[in-house]
Amino acid sequence: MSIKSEEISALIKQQLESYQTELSVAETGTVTYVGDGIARAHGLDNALQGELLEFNNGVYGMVQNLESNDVGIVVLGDFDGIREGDTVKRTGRIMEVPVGEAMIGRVVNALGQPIDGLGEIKTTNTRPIEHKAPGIMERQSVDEPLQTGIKAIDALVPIGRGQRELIIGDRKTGKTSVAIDAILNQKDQDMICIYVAIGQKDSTVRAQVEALKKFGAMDYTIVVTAGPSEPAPLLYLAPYAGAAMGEEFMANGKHVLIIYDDLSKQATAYRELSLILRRPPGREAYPGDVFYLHSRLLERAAKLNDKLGGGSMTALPIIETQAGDISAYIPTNVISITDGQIFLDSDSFYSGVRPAIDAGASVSRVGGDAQIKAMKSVAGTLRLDLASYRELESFSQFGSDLDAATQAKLNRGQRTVEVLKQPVHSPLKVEEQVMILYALTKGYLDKVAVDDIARYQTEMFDFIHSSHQDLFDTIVSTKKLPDTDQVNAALDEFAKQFQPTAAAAK
Amino acid sequence: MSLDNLTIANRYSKALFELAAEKDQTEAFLTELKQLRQVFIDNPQLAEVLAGSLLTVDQKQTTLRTLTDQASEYIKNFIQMLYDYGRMRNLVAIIDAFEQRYDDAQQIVHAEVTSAVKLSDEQAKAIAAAFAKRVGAKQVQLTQKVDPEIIGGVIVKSNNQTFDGSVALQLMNLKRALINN
Repeated sequence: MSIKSEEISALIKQQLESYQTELSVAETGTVTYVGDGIARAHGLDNALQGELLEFNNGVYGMVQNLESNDVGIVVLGDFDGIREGDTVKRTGRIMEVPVGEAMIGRVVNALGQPIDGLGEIKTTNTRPIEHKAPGIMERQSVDEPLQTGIKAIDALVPIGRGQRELIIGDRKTGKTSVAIDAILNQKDQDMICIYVAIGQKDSTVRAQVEALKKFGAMDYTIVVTAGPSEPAPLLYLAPYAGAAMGEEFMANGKHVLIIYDDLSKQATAYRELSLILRRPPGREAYPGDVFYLHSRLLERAAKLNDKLGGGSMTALPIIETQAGDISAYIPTNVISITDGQIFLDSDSFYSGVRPAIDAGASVSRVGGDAQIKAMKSVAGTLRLDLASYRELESFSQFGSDLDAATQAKLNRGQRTVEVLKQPVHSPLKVEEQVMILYALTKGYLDKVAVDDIARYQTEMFDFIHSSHQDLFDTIVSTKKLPDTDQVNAALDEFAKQFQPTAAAAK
Repeated sequence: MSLDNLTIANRYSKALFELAAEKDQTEAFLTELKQLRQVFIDNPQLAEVLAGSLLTVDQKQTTLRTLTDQASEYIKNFIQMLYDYGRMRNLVAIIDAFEQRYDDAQQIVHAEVTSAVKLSDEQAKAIAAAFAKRVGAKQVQLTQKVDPEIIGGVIVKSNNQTFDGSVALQLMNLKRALINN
């Protein structure tokens, strides 16, 4: 790269000329208090709620509280350099983040600045981070499925594009893995994914980014992260920044999947800054508007009507519970805001049922309409089967003699649980899910040993891919189950050649 | 919840100023109040002593009398009332707020001028005149400050507004513009 000195001097000359007449006029205030990520300033009589302010040292702040004599400001960055008596300047702008195609594949902070070391993001478009959600007439009902690639979710708690489905569970129950798998499964689905990590350890986020890269998912994903070492205001703002980036795509008729991992940490960060701003504490010391904090965020997920391009934004918020307590303040709030929840249970997780989805407590309030017909027909009775199995299971532990019908139910139940197990980062296509669930509900698995089921599944998929690919093609193209005779014939053919393992045969 | 200094100062100064305007004595009030304020600024413990419980009521009343003796009737009442209501600590703020009201009424603007070198009288006068024209005030009272860090030009601060025409700021803007390109 050669630098031409004439060019530079010409540029400087040009800029010097334009600066000669400029006089900066700014409304200023005086900082009267700084600490813990917030500042108070006297003056700034005309400041607006949510307006960006600039401190002496170039750090930005956002107006949070307007009071009779001063304003409460959250500092978006390093507050060490700010002193009492410093001036703070109004900028007249509200907070915005860069948006657009250029963001895809990047890892950015809550302000939309790149932190992946891949250089500057070249986009001129910005959107305000706080934006009113689409209104009633701008929406339409959810009718397209969002396939997560996880059997237990797609069959039992189907998610539609534009839905808000909560993922809730204790620590270490695989909440993030479910979300990451859902992102991995969006490959070639014309979806854009946004993963917002709020207060997640930087090492964990790095591992997630590596996983996404490994499976080629970074080609359609934006990662927004506000780590635990960042000041609380950035943790509070990160989900809104992610939502603004998603809205840009939604407004352009694209489909977006956004994951907020997790909103409990955002609520904690918001509680911290609210308490320091001296807002009155309410239940669990959260401020009074903590419900609104989440409802206005999740309301931004929508399925737009066809006139507006038919874009959608599906939100998968994550909430961490303490010892399975879903009646704590934040979990109940978010459960009531979302269109259903996926409940992850630590007991099943440790007993090896992974993903540890609790079929009884998990619901999806709108996704059923979006499920494809083929899946609906095979998954219809699954929930009831599982529920009656759970009931019988505890009953049969007394060891009394069981009649044949009960035995059969128990057998089917064990196999259902086994089929719904799925290793991490290996999403299944919807046609494959339909096929294995069909085999299960029609009793093809009843004769297979429980230990053999995973092997049965992979070999069956290979078999159908090689000899009966037309069955899969029919499901994909018509969304309906192919002629049952054909399917039965194929499964019978496979059952003949399937070899049980020696250990299982005993 | 106890009221803060600014709220108290606003309320008392409003009442006092309205009284002064009614009696048409605003200027006399202000001169007297300014002297009073000087006394309190020169003796920082005075407000504390009068508001605290270190002295007996009689002793405090005696101290108060030395203040009120030379004062005009209204100011005397004002001081006595502040003392009775336990607002001696807010006295300076009240007088500041009173001055602010007086300035607003008379269209006097206070401005702080920062320059790299000391301004000559003519220069200061020219700045005051230009500034008065800009903000639409009758009179501008300048406080001068010298800060070599701004390199050249002037910065005028007044009423929560900053008019920055310093060389330092322009260099900073230039630096930012060059980095962004």
